[in-house]
Amino acid sequence: MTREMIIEKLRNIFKMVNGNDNIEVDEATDLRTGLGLNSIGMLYMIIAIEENFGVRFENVSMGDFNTVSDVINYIEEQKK
Amino acid sequence: MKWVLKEIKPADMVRVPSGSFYHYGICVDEDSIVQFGESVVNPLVDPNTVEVNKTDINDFLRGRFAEVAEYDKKELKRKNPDEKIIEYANKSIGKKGYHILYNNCEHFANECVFNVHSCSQTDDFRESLSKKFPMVDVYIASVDRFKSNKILPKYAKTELKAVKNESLAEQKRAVYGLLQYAVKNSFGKDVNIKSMSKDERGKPHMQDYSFSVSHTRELVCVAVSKSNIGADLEEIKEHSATSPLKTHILSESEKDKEYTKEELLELWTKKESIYKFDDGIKSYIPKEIDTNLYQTKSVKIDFEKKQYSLSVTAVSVMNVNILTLDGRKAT
Repeated sequence: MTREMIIEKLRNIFKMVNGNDNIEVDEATDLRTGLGLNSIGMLYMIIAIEENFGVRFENVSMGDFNTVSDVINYIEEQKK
Repeated sequence: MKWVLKEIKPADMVRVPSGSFYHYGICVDEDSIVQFGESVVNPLVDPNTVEVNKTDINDFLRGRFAEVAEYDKKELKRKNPDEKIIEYANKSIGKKGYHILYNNCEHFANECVFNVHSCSQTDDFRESLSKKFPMVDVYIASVDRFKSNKILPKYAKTELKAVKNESLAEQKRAVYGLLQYAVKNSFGKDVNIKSMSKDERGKPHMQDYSFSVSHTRELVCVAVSKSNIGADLEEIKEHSATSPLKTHILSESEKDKEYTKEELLELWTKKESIYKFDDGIKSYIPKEIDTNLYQTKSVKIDFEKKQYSLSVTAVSVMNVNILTLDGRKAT
């Protein structure tokens, strides 16, 4: 799965978690300041990613993810 | 299990609200609760610093009302005796390995009471997510990319023998090539193409997953999901807005409006995707299909100076992902 494909799917996940259709998402977008995800929003995001990409977030701290790029890197690593 | 506001006694499973979640613990004596983590749920906490600990009941409550678990008859039979619950909780003090999804305060409380590792809070969210917003991945690729695919279902091989038009044969082969790619990409699984079959409407079936396919001379489209789906792709051609086409597509309520060729083709793809989605529609009569009754998503796709209309129908289109191979854009 290419990075473009991953970000396309992440856009829908962020819309679902945020309940907001009008969000701009690129790799540099900050999860907290850019998307406004609070701690529970981060948890919902993680669950949605697990369900949509078939990956598991084990042995990682959610505090490790700052930008959309960090999330894509993790998914790419898990999909290898 | 019901949650009630009442006096807490030793061996009770208790919880307090914490943001959108609840924090769980086990009462081990009149003054103390054993809990995994802290009384305020924080998914961003470093899991290595979290351990099972004994805390004062007031620290657990922090001014909030505690709810106490009240078990039904089946749960009462499964539940450990009170002394075992307290013993397990106390023995666990100092234990690590916290994970907000897989090993949290609710998992711990359920282990103490039922010897079961479960968490209703995250499980409920997963279930509602997949029911409300089922994932639909729609892949678009050039026919050229998959036209040499040779792995086909038995029925497709039979059908291909009757196809004299080589372009159409390439499209059909490409569909199954892209389908294999899509399932692998979206679900990480290999699909057994050869064992696929068709239902009485002629709709192909695959074990475990739903899918829908569509193809034009240049492009092939495959939508995959765990929930029912329909997809249709059409090239927007010059003759698209001609009167005969309107007669076949438009229902009585749609006839009064003026349509551009793009709008008319979009309506056609919507209706065909609805027909593919809804197994209750036995034959495809576009003017009898009411698009307002379904959730559809439509996009335009540019490919080599041509435009295409793509529509997808699903239980919800919130989580429809249009994934184009070869870098072309969907808008």
